[in-house]
Amino acid sequence: MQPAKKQSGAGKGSFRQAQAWLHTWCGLWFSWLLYAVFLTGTLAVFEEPITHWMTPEHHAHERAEARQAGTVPQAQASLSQRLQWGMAYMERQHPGADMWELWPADSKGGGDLRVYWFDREGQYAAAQLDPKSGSVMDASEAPKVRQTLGGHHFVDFHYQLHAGQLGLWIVGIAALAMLVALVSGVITHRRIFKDFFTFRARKGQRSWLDMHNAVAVLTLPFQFMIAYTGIAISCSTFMPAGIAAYFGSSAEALKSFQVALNEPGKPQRSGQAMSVPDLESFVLRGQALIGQPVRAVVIDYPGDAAARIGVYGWNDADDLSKRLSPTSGMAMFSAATAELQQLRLPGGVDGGAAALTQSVIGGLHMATYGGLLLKWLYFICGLAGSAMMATGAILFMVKRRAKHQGEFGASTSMVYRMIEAANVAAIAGLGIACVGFLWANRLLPVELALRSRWELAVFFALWMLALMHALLRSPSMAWRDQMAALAVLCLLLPVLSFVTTGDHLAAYLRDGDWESAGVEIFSLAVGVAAAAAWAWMRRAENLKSVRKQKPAETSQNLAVAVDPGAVRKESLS
Amino acid sequence: MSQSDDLHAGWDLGARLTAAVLGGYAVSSAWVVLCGAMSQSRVETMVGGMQSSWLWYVAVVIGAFSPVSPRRIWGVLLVLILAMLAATAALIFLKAR
Amino acid sequence: MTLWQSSLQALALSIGGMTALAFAMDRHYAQLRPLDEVPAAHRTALRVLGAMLLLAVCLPAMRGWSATVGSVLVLGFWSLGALATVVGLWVSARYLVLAATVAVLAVVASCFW
Repeated sequence: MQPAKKQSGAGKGSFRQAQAWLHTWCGLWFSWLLYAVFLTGTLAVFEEPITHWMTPEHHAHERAEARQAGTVPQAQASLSQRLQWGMAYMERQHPGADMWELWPADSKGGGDLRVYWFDREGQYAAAQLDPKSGSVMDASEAPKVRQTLGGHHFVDFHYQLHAGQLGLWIVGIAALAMLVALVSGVITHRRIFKDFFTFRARKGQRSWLDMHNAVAVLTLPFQFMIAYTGIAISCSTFMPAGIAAYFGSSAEALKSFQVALNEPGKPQRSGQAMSVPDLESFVLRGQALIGQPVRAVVIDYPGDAAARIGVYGWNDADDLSKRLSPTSGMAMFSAATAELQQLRLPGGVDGGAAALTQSVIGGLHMATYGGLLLKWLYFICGLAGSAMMATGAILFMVKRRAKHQGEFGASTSMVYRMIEAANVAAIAGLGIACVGFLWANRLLPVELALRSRWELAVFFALWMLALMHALLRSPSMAWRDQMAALAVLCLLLPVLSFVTTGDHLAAYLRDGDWESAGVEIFSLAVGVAAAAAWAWMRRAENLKSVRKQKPAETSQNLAVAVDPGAVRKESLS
Repeated sequence: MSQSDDLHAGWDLGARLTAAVLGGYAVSSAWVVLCGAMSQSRVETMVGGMQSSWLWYVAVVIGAFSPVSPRRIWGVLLVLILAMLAATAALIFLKAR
Repeated sequence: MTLWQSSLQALALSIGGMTALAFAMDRHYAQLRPLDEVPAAHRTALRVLGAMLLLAVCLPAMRGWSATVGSVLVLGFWSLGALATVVGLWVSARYLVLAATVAVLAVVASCFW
C-alpha cells in the first residue's frame, strides 16, 4: 500500500506546518545543550552567593576582620600614600611596561592595594601590595581558603562549557538555534492570545503542551532578549567578516579594531622620555569631575611624554540600579600638560553609539543593573526558560510514546530510546551534577592538590554516570531513580554542610548571612520539588500497572495513563 | 520507488540545511561588510552591523525551511549576497571620490 | 519609597491587570460563571481595566529605578504577573479574583499613605 504523501517534513505543507517541523527538530536537537547552558546561566546569576557558600573558611576570616575593625580603629594609609607606594613598586619592577594600572583602595578609601600591568607577552599580570607598608604581599599570607572555582564554575560552563574558544562557538550556535526555535514557535502557535492563560492539568500530552506554552510565551520578552544578547556579546568573535575586510585577519588587526572601537582618542608614543608625575592631583581632579571615588588609575605609555593618566571611579549600588550600561565614570588627562582629554560620565562609553549599545547589551545579559530585585527576576525567568526547554523535550517523547511516527524508518525505535535517555540525563542528570558539585566542595579534603579540578571532575563524572544509568534502565525507572537521587542530594546538602563545617542554616539566618542561607534554602526547595515529582511518577506508574491487569479498561492512548484524573473520569462515564 | 523518494528527501533536507547554516552566515557576513562601508571610520557602523546581522541569520534559517523549493531559496540567498557586496563596492567607490 | 515597595506595587498592578485580561476571555470567564460567552459590557470593561493596570506598572518601575531600567523591568513584572495569573486560574479562579482585587486596592491605598 502506498504510504500517504508526507505532510510533515522539511518545508512541507503550509508555512505554519513547515515552521512546526523546524521548531520540533531544531528545538529537540539543541534542547539538551540549551537546557544545560540555561540552567547554569540561571545559577550564575547568584555566582557570588554560591562562591561565598563554597568558601566557608572565608566566613570565619571575614567575621574576625569585622570584629577587629569594630574594636581597634584601623590606621588607614591615606590615598596619597597608597598611590606613592603603587608608583614606587611599578617604577622599580616594571619600568618598561606599556601600561600601568593601580587600584589604590575600595570605595571607602580602605581595603586592598593592587597593581596590574601588561607583561612581556602582552598578558595581564597582577600583584598585591600591603596597604600598611607598600611592600609586596606573599600569596601565603592570604587566609587559607579551600581552592575552588565556586560559583564561577557555572558562569564558565554557561558561556564556554569549560572548553575555551571551541566551547564559546558551540554555545553561540546553540543560542542561534534558540532564536530560531523561539521565532518558529511563535509562528506555529496559532492561538497564542487565546491560549495565553491556559493551563489544563491532568490531561497528559495536552498538559505538557500547555506548560511548555505557558513558561515560554509568558516570559517571551526575556527569552528573546537573553538569547540575542548572549550572541551579540561575542559578535566580534562570531562575525569577523567586517574586521577581516577592513582591518585584516592578524592579531594586530584585531587589536587595532578594538582600539578604534574603545579608545578612539589614543595617541601614539612620542619617543621622548618623561617620568610619570605625582598622581594625587590627577586623582583628586578626576574624582571631582566624575563624582565617584577612585577605583583605578591607568597610565598609558608610562615614562613617555605622550603618557595619559585615566582615573576610573567606583559605581555604587545606586549607579548600577539606575543605568543599563555598567561602565563607571572616567577622566583622562595628558600626563605632560595635565589637560583633560576625555570625560566619561558613569554609564557612558569611550566610543560612540555602537559601543554604547554593546555596553548595554552586556549589562542586559549579565544583569548588572537594577540591583538584587533584578537578579531574582532573571533567576525566575531563567528557571522558566529551562522549564521551557525541558517540557519541550519531554513533550516530544510523550507524543511519540502514544503514537510512533516513524521519522527515521526502521531505526526509529532506537532513536526514540536514545532521546528518552538523553532527556533523563540532560534534565535530571544535570541537576544531580550541579548539587553533586556542591557535595564535592564539602567532601573533598581542603589540602588536596588541584582541588578545583577535582570538583569539576566530580561534576562531569556524575553527569556521565547519569547518562549511563539512563541508557541501562527503562525510561520511566530512570526518571524515578534520578529524581529520587536529586531529592536526596538536595535535601541532605544542609546536613552535609553542618557535619563537615559546623555551619548550619539557623546560624546563617541568625548572623544575617543571606547568601549562604539562600543557597541552602534553594537546595531544600529543589529537593522538595524533586521528591514531589518522584511521588507523582510513582503514583502514575502504579496506576498504569493496575490498568494493565484490567485489559477491558486499557486505553489506546498510553499518555493518558500518566494521569490518574482521566482514569477516574473514564470509569465514571 | 520509496527509496528514490527517500533520496530526494535527503537532498532536499541537505540543501535547506546548507542554505540555513552556510547561506545564513554568508548573508550576515555580507551585511557586516556593507555596514562597515556606510561610514568613513568603519568601526561604528560595522559594530552596528555585527549586532544586527543576527536578524538576517534567523530570517534566512526561517526562510530556508519554508515551503519553497531549495532551488528558489538558494537563488534568493545568492541575489541577497551579491546585492550587498555590490552596494559595498558602490559605497566605497563613491566615498573614495 | 523603597525598592521593595516599588517592586510589590508593580507586581500587584501586574497581577491585577493580567487577571482582568484573563477574565475578559470566554474560557476563563466561564470558570467564574457558567456562561458560554463573556457579556459584551464586561468584556470591554475588563479589557480597559486590564490595559490600564498593566500600563500603570510603569509608574512604580520608572519611579523606583530610572526610565531606561524601569522600561526593562516593566516587561519582567508583566511576565511575573502573567505567570501568577496562570497559577491562580489553575488553583482557583475565585480566589484569584479576590487576591487580585485586594492587591490592587492595597496599591491604591499605599499611594495615599
